[in-house]
This record gives sequence, structure tokens and C-alpha cells, in this order.
Amino acid sequence: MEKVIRTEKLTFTYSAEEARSFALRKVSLDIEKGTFVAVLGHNGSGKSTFAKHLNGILLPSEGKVYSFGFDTSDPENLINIRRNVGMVFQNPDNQLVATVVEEDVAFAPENMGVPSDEIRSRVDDVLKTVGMEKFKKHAPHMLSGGQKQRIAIAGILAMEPNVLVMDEPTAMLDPVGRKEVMATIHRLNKEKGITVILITHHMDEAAQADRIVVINAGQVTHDGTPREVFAHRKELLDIGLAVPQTVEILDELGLKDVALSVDECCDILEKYLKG
Amino acid sequence: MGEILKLENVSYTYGAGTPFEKTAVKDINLTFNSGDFVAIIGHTGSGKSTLVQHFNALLPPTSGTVYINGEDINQSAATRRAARFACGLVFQYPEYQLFEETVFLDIAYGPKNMGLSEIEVKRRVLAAAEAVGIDALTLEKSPFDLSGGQKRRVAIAGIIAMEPEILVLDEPMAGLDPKGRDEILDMIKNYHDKHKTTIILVTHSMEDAARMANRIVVMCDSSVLLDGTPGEIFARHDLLTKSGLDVPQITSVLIELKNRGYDVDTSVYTIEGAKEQLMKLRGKLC
Amino acid sequence: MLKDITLGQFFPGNTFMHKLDPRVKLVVCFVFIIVLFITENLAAYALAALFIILGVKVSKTSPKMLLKSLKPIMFLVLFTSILNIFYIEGEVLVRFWILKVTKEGLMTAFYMTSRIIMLVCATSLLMYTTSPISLTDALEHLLAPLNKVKFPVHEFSMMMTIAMRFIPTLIEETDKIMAAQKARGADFESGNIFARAKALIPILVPLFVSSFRRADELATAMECRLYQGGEGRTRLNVLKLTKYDYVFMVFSAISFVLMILLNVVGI
Repeated sequence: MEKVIRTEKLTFTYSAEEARSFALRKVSLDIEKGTFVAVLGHNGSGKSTFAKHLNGILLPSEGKVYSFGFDTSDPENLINIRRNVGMVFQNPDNQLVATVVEEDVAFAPENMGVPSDEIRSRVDDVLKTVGMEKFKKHAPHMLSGGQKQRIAIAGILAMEPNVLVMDEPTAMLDPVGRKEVMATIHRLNKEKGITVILITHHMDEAAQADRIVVINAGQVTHDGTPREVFAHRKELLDIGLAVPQTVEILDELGLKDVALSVDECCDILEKYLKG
Repeated sequence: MGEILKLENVSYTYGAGTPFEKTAVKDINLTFNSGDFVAIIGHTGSGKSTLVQHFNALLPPTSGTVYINGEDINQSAATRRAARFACGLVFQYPEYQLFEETVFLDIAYGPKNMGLSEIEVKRRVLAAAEAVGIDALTLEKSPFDLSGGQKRRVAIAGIIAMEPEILVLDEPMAGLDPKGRDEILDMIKNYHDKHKTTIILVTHSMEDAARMANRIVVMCDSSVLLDGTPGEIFARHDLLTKSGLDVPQITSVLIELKNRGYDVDTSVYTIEGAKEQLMKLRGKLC
Repeated sequence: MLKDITLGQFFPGNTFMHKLDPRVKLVVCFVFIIVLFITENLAAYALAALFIILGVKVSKTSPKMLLKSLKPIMFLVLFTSILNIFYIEGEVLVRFWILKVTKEGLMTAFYMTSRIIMLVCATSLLMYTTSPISLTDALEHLLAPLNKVKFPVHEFSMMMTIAMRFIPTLIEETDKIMAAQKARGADFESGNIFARAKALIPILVPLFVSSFRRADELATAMECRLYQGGEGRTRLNVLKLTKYDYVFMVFSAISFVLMILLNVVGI
């Protein structure tokens, strides 16, 4: 499989005076095209710092990051990298620039110098993709958090990127908004084949990923499928992370299986109840 | 346990008479008893955040009356001010209200506004800092140099230092990771156990509500939809899901088992409760 | 709720006035104001009033809204008229105590008042029918020649856009912080001016801190969306003159020329 992102011994230190010197230490990861990767970690674990390296917002103190084969430390490559690796942040309010939804979505293609009629078709397309086409003439500040975040995603999609890096996109949203956004991201991954890197501390969001990377104190501690990673419940607890309740109940009952959904959990419990 | 806070037919309408008129709370009747730990849950826009701003007279009801200890709190500027101190309200993302040079001064802002003596202010600041787990060294730091979780504790301490009879917290766990959530929840629980202060916790997490409160009020479309013990509330999961709320995953598991014909109690909402039940059921079936 | 206030008082619609190119509206409004100031003639002013009334009709603006926009300037209008009525020398009509009302004074007061009222009406009509974003767009286009003298036209309009985008957000935030500080017993209403100014610190400091945070995050987000200044940028909506614009321009030009002619001939 094609590797879209590769980090080699990525190490990052904030300024020397700061206490939390090593934000990242020798992180080496390959991310394959079309996968849905969840990066888990508690606040301050270094997971957001990691995300910001993927499109060259931060540059490694040591080691290398290659996005689509381009070295992020070469300024010549930045435009190309950012066009391919779109980034959505936590606070939707602080990512929207324009007072009208469609103008905001058009921002990136406008910067890229895309001809007007193509911008129009891109804007209409991506707004449909995130299910916000009815709101294209609305003012962003009148929308709900989940809707604003979907506009932010549309604004990134309008660049037609191959990778979408989401830095805790649901942290400020309520359950309804979270569901809207998660459904949108999954659809993008499945239908458009966009590689998704989701930075989160929500276990149920991570459970739906193809692969989970756990970061603690700037280092990768676990890397595998949700099933593999959640099997280490005790270790995750130690670093301040919880597992989904479907996993927890089975572990409490002394069962070895890992269930990622309510249905799966019930299947296993049925077997358990029947002895 | 006596009645401490009472709402009688409280309604609130934003922007009355403009095209943006919106009724945020509609004809609310609620009574809170002294020492209670109540959770108010509802999805965004259900009116829960508007409702709690009536508890300390930040919003005067468009119609209806709010009483603290039997007194109408909206009689005059003086009663409104007294209500602010009797009912401490911690807003969502309270760390955004920090402004002083040091953590100590920031926590002292509320008590100072109460006109207390310097010695009393100091005593309260130290007590509040201890309650939220802020050490003496941190008290001398600038609040802007702290981590996100610490900032939030400082902000909560700023309200606790007013030593209110009722402590209202609006989504105090918003945006925190699982560890941060647990720490804040434990802190609130400890504070309640120790001081018997009436606590009203606003949240959209059923899990947290179930874990903490002995009573849950569910808000939907500006009105009270359900009001009862956690067990009673979770028994009505059909209504909860319909009003845009999530039941804990473990409750969903039990509901699904029940649908598959197993005799389980679906009002259980903790892992321990579910574990106990499933083990018993297995004993019976095998 | 403060955040529900529509900014720039724009009322979306689909009338002739709404469809006009914002540049055309802006220029016509500007010329109209100039003509108002260089003319002083009853017939010309009647024509100008007709022009405004026609604008109100065509844009389906409620006259009530227009009157509302006049409210804040009523004091200014009254004040200048009174000064004009009593202080301009000329043919005395009425005299009492040390005051006298002159014909010239009355006429000047009338022209001043009509001028200000029509000026406000014309700009309000522009604001009501043009979204803030197309106004900034129009400004960027009209100011484009200034690029030659190194005036940062694009940056200026980007700043305007971002300011408009964030005003509602900041109003909402101010609201929240005020409520939070009130919950801690802050008192913004009593005390002398110093006490009140001091009471603002707990609002201003958090507001500044959060604005810096927002600015920082927004800058990063803009970088991620490939913003590199105005060079090589294209636009989603390209301003293009249509038949409507030509009709409006010709009609306005005729009206303005007529006003000036009436003034010159002096009917």
C-alpha cells in the first residue's frame, strides 16, 4: 500500500526554557493511503503536536516528516503539502474567515487561484458532501457547533486534499454535533477514499477507526487495530485513557473478547449467559 | 432536608417583540432541597443553560418567580446581588474568565466583591484552593501560565471561595480528556460529601449525570421532560433517545439484551451494576 | 440574544435593488450625496426625495425601518436647524426677546435638514440591500487603483471581512464573560467613573487574551488553507455588470443631471 505520510524519528522540543521540553520523542510512523487512523492520548500527551507536523505547521527539531514524499522541512514544498494534507481544528469559530458560508468554503480555492466557475462547482460539491448545501448563503455565526465544524471541513475539502488531519474536531461539540461530524468524516473516508487522521481522546470515536496509535509523553505506546489496542485495558488506564464500556464490561466479567459495538458485545454476552 | 431553591412558573423569552423572539424556558416548576446533588441534562438549545442563569438572578424571568430560602430573589438590586453569592454559578469553559495577576487574586475576586475582611478573604481563598487541589506554590503564579485543567480548577475555586449554599456548574467537564473529567467529577463529589452544599450539575452526558447525582432533571424543548432518580430516568430510555440524548453504552447493551429476550433490568447505568446483574443471570440460566 | 443582531443591517431579498452590482450602488450613493451638497434648490430636492422614495419602493424596504435609522441623528438635525434658524442674518420674519428668525435662516435650516435626512436614507438603503461582504468586495474593486501608490487594498478588505466575521463572535463572548463576572459579584452599574472603569478590567483582560488566542488560531487555519496574500487570488463571485446596472446607472445619471440643472436655472 502507498504510504501517504511517513515520520522518521520525529522529535520536537518547544523552546529550551519550557518545562515540557520533549513534546515528541522519536516518533516513527507510516500512514497508508485510504486508512482511518485514530491518534489517542490525553491532553498534553503530544498528540496535537504530532498532528501539526503533518502539514508543516511545526517542523521537527530532529528527524523527518515526509508527506507524499515531500520533506516538510523544505519551504519550497509547503504549498504542495498543505494542498494535499488538509487540517481541521478544535474550535470551529476560529477557522472560519468569511461572513457567508459559501464565501468561506471558497477561501482555499481562491487562494490557490482556481478559476471562478470551478470554485463555484467545488463549493457546491463539498457543501453537498458535508450535507450543508441548504446553508450556503447563511452567516456562520448563526449555525450550531456541529454545522460550523462541517463548514470548516468543507472549506478544507475544497482544496481536494488526499489526507484529512482532524485535531480534536469534536471536543467542543455536544453529542448531536459529534455524531454529525463523525458521520461526515467516515463518509469521506469510505466514499471518497480520503485518508483520515483523527486526533481524539474519545474512545468510542477511536473504536470506529481502522487503526489506533496511542501517544503518551511524546512517544508511541500502542499501535494496532482497535481490537488489539483495547485488549490492553489496564495499560490504557494507567496513562489516563478509558476503554469503551462494551470492552470494559467484558473485561470485568473475565472474558477475553474485545467488542467494538453494542451488537457485538451482546453476541458475546449471550454466549456468556448460556455458559 | 429543607427546600432551598424553588422556581414557580418560570418562563424566559429572548428578544421579545423582535423578529428574533425565542422562548428559551417555558413554564418551569422545580424545587431543589438542601444538600441535593441534582443533574440537569438536555441537548444544546434545550434551555438548560438559560435556566440556570435564573438561579442567581443573572436573568430575570419574563414571568414567574424564583425563590432562595423562601425569598423572591428578583425584588431589588440588593436581593439580586445576594442571590449571586447564595447561588454560585460556574459557567461553561470558566477558565476564560480568569484575569488577575496571580491565582490567589483571581480566586479572591468573588469574596472581595462580597465585602469581606482581608483575613476572611484569605481564609476562603486557601480553603477553596485546597478543595480544588491547587497548592500554595501555584497560588502565586499567573493564571495564564497554568495548564488547561489547572485553569479550570482555579476558575471553579473562584466560585467555591464565595462559599455559596448552592453550587451550580454548567458543563464543568467540557473539552477535558477522560482523566481530566474524572478528576473534576471526583473533586465535585468530594466537595459535596464534605460540605453538604447543594450541587446542580448541568451536563449533556448521561454517564456523568448517572454517576454523580441522586436526582436527574431532563430538559427538552425549553421544558422539563423528566424528573426523578437516575434509575427512574434510565427506565425511560425511549424518551431520552428521542430528545437527542445518549444513554450510556452499557445501558444500550442491556436494552439490546432485553430485546433479545433476556430478563435484565435496563435502568442500570454503571459497569458494576451491569456486572452484578449479568453474573446473577448467568447463575440462574446455567 | 446579542448574537442575533444582523450586522450591517442587511436584509436579504431578491429585488431590483438587491440584484444591483455593489460597486454601482456604492458609486451612485456617493454621487447622490455630492449632488445633494452642491445643490440648494427646492425642485432639485423634491426630485431627490422622489429618487429616495422610488428606491424604498423598489427595494421593498419598510419605511418604518428607514425612520428608525434616522432616530440616532435626530438630535444633530434639530441642533443644526435651531442654530441656522436663529443665527443666520437676513430678512427678519419674527422677532422676540433677543432672538430673530430670518427667511434665509429658515431656508438654510430646511436644506440642511433635508440634506442630512436624505443622506442617511440613501446610505441606509445601500446597507439594507447590500451584504457586508459584497460591500467590502466593491470597496476592494473601487480602491484597486490605490494599489499603484502601495496602499494595501487587499489586506484592507481582508481585515474588514475578518472583522465583520468576528464581531458577532466577540459580542457573544463579551456577553458570556460579563455574565460570568457578574456571577462572581462584579458590579458594573454603581460607583463613580473610576470605579466603573476599574470594574471593566475583569471583562477586558479575558477578552484580550481570548482575542489573541483566536487570532493565533485563525492565522494558522488560514495558512493551512493556503492563504498567501492577495497575489494570484481568484474569487468565487466575480462582480459583473448586468442590464439592471446599466438601467440604474442611466436613470441615476439623468436624475442627478436634472437636479444640477434645476439648481443652475434656479426654479
